[in-house]
Amino acid sequence: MDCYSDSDWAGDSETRHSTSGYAIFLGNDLVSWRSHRQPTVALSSTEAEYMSMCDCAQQILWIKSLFQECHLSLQHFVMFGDNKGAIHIAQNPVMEGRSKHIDIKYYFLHECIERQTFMLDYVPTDQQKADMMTKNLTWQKFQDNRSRLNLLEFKS
Amino acid sequence: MGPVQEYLGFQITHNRVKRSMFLHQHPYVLKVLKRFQMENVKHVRTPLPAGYQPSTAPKDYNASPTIRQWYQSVIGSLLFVMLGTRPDIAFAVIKMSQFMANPTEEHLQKALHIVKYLGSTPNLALHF
Repeated sequence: MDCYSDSDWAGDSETRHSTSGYAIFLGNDLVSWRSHRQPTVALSSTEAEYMSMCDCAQQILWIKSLFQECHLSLQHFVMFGDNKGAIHIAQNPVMEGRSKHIDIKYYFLHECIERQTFMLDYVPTDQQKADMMTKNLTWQKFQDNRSRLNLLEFKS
Repeated sequence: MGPVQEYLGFQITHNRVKRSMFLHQHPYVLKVLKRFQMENVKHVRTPLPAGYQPSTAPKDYNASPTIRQWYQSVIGSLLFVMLGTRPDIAFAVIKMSQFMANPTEEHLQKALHIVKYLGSTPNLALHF
């Protein structure tokens, strides 16, 4: 199961809230997606990305429990983010310096990583499948991203 | 009987040879296009123009009930398609749905732009 989490930073020009988005794939197939404006302002793109990863983590937990209920065990949940800073914060148990103001509820992500609920990995932005959930892309990028989501013409 | 073809308004198209399956809402998309008289409009390539930033209505502006109702029904139809089988319009629809309470003519035009995009790409389906 591959989960792609992405965010823009301060994309809302009036409130300066960021937008987070994720796309969750079972094998090659898209099964869950979301785009939404974050409830609070993020001070850096790392922080925005971190909040978005936390949001994605909640969905992963739900999918995991859904599978357990069906007596199917799925291993190898991997969450991909395109911000190395955010991944580092999530994997590092100490919070200090420029990230110590991040709300307690986001420590949830730490807990998931510690319990090895899923793994975190870096993916470069050009392979990020959730990019189109967080910004208006140009036609070329939009088209690339759309085909990566496995959205195809079902008839010609 | 045979294999399932429709479930909760979602259409399921099988391809036995390729062992694949498409999930889509093609009839509903056509219905939406008809409802907003957008069947024969110019095609657009993306749901919203790249880098487009909507602005909220001026402070003294109050949307007329007609435009508000119109806007809400456009966004409502789009939301259903977006949550069902069209992740490609997710960002655009969520962005425009922030202006549901007080939509301006500009917002309505951009919401209809998303409908135009649906009209340009009615055959896109989730592939499994």
